[in-house]
Amino acid sequence: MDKHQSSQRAERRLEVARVLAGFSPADIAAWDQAESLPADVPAALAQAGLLGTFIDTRNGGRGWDAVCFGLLCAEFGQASLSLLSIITVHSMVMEAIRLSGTEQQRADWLPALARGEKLGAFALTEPDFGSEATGIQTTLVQCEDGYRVSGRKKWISYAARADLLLVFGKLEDGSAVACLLPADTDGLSITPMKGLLGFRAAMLGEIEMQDCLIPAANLIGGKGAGINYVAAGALDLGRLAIAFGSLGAMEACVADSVTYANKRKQFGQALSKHQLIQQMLADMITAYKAAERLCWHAAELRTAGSPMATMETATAKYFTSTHAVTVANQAVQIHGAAGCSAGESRTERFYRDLKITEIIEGSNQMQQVMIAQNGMGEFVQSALRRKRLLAGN
Amino acid sequence: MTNTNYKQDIRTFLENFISEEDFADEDDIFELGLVSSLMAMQLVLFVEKTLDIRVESEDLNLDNFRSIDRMDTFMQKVSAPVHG
Repeated sequence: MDKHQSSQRAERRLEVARVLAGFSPADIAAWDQAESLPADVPAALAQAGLLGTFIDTRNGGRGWDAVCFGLLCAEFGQASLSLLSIITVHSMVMEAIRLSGTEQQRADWLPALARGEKLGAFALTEPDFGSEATGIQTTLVQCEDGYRVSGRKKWISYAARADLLLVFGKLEDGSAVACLLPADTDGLSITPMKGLLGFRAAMLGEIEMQDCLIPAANLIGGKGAGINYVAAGALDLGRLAIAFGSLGAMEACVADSVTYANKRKQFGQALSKHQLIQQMLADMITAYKAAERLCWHAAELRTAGSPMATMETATAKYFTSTHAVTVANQAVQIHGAAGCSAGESRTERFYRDLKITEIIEGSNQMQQVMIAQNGMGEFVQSALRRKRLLAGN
Repeated sequence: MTNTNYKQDIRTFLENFISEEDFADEDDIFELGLVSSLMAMQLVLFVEKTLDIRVESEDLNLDNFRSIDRMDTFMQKVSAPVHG
């Protein structure tokens, strides 16, 4: 990495941090408690140009590479994982159009999304189908004017506020498709979801679609490509966002814990002088550093356009989210009673929010399946190469 | 025009993911369970990186990527200069 690139990345990260510092810790805690996000928050993020950074400038974005996008997500993760969730799903909608849309569709939809004039939500999960995405039951029936979409989606981040939904369903022949469904379409109703463990201010919603009419031009990626390409491509970016977002939250947990452990005294000395606290801090610091390397590695590969990036992103998402939950657990433990109280520290919010990162954008069990199924070959081949080398041929 | 054969490049790439020591050029890697369907996007990226092209939405079809043979055919097609 050259000096220019390095300082550019640091400047962009600082730019994001400055914008997010405009939201006070008390406000961020209040959004979580109220299970709602004020409408002027996404508007401020749009105004700051942070909603479409990875989209090319021709289509209204800023042309940031995957590392810069990751650093943006890390800053959002430090501030609020609910905000990160909104960035993630909005980015996934744009990524689906960028990767799987036609030139015309990119020109039609991306500029308004990248500038944040419209916000998107990613509608894949259904009441009965989550990880088994190929089982979705939403239907698209062809008609004279396009397609009629019917079905239900649930736990959809930002659905309660989005202007545009990327909906996944099946045609009459059973082939999976993706389509863009404007939120003001007749027959569409969205109910906000409350009582969630984490991501409480991410405006989750349940979507009911009854014969919602869309033009054929709103189909993204063609027939049969809905899950394997459109969803898979978008989720790949979503996993990068969650990996970096978890990393940012992890950094906040470590920093808060170190500060608290230095300040708080028990048995006549600072908590940080107690070896059992040091043990936890050591594990937290080590987990953070390992996760940071995995996240950066995945983002660098993605920036280089490497086809290996997908696997490394899944690995980074799995490792970082899993360890972030452990780190948040330790942060709460170090903070003691203060760590269990929203008025005293933000660690309880991180603990609840980070649990969600193990489930979204492909549960960690799905990541494990993917890593095992697609990661074994590397080791079989390296063992074979080693065998050949040792045999001298 | 040189008729480039991409089969060895494809095989070398797939060997990063396939734990079977031997698989044939005509083997359907998805049908045989050698890789999961999550590999589909990686194969698209491989083609894009190798040929320095963009795979358009109408070509996002699993049938183009099922085997080394089929991927080779697809890559020959999309890398061929347009006549007319």
